Amino acid sequence: MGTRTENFRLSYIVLSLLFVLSIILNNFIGIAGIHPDILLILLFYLAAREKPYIVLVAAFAFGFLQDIFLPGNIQYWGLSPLFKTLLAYALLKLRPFILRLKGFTHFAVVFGMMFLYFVFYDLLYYSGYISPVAVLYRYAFPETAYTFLLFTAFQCIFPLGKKDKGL
Amino acid sequence: MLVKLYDFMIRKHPEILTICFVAISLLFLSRTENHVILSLQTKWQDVTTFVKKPILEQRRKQKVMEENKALRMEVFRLKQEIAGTKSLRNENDRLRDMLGYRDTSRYEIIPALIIYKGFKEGSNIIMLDKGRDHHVGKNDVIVYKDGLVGRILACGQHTCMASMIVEPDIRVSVRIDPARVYGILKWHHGNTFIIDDIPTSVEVKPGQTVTTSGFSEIYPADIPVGRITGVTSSENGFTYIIEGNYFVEFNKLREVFILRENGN
Repeated sequence: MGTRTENFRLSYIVLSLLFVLSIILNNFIGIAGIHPDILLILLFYLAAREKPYIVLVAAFAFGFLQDIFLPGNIQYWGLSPLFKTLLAYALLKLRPFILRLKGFTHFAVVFGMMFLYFVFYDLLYYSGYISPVAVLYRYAFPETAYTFLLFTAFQCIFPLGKKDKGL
Repeated sequence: MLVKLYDFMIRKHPEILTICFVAISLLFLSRTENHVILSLQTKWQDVTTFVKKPILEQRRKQKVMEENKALRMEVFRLKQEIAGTKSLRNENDRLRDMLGYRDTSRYEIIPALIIYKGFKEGSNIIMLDKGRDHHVGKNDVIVYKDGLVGRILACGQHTCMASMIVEPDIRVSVRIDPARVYGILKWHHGNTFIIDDIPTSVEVKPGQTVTTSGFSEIYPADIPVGRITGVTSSENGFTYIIEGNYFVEFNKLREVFILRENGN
């Protein structure tokens, strides 16, 4: 068994490798056009463990990486760093509250935070493409579910420690 | 004073960082075609092509085999037609020679495989497996067998990034046939477009086709774009708002053709 810091590092390395794989194999991991956001999972891990400035810089960098390596629409370059930074800030502000949660409520809050992120992101990303209601059930909810599923699976392998549980 | 400022910055550093990053993100959002980002993206695609391409090629092979079967039947039917048109072609060539016509084809057609189709569904950016190695350049036009697809935004050594015409900011100068009326086409939603400000004095009907006008500096004339599905009068009553469907099904594209001007 490695130390706590070693486990943290290992989980970050694994998530980073997963992200690189997801970039390269983006066309093949999609289910009906829905793709998971691996960097969002990494951001949740960082938000639970690291200092605020690291979380915020990482959030912005992740968004930037996503826009560089997984471009979508030209006019929305910058959307990903914007929402990832805002989410990171919200996670940092809510950290003391979320740390007190246990079991189902903890997972419900994580799901809710992910869902909010995808709702705002997708509403802007698909504005003019499909109706806002359709964005919710066609993209925001499935993307949240896919990402949350991976987050939960990843938690089974690299559980967040007792100290930082809740995110 | 400086100590207080330092304390304030230390205490409020999450807020300060958030504001800075949000401002930078908004700056990115306000600049749609950032050349630094475009160049980074194409270079990255150059690097990852060697991994993606074999998988895509495998998928393509399967599709090609299915298409091949259907095409064999089609070839048989077409051979019969060709026999009939051969004599007409000879006659046409003879008449063109008499009139002093020259070959006016200015474009070389380069087939390209789509190696990336955007992070999310509905993205209008695609990456192609042809780059500067194949003499592909910025603003080269992309078409598919059904019609216009878009244009090249930036080129790497082996890949290039292209933008499809299904994007809110893109306008295409078009001609409606057979009415021969000109207008500006813009994407509406999904696979539909609109053309507005067409005078009501012109007879435009659903079913008529829309092609590029040739007035644009990028898109050459006579590339099919779509078909009109609805014509409604605007509020002022002097102009039509025309709706239509693109010929190309953008979300099903797997390969495209790049039109490269050959300088004839």
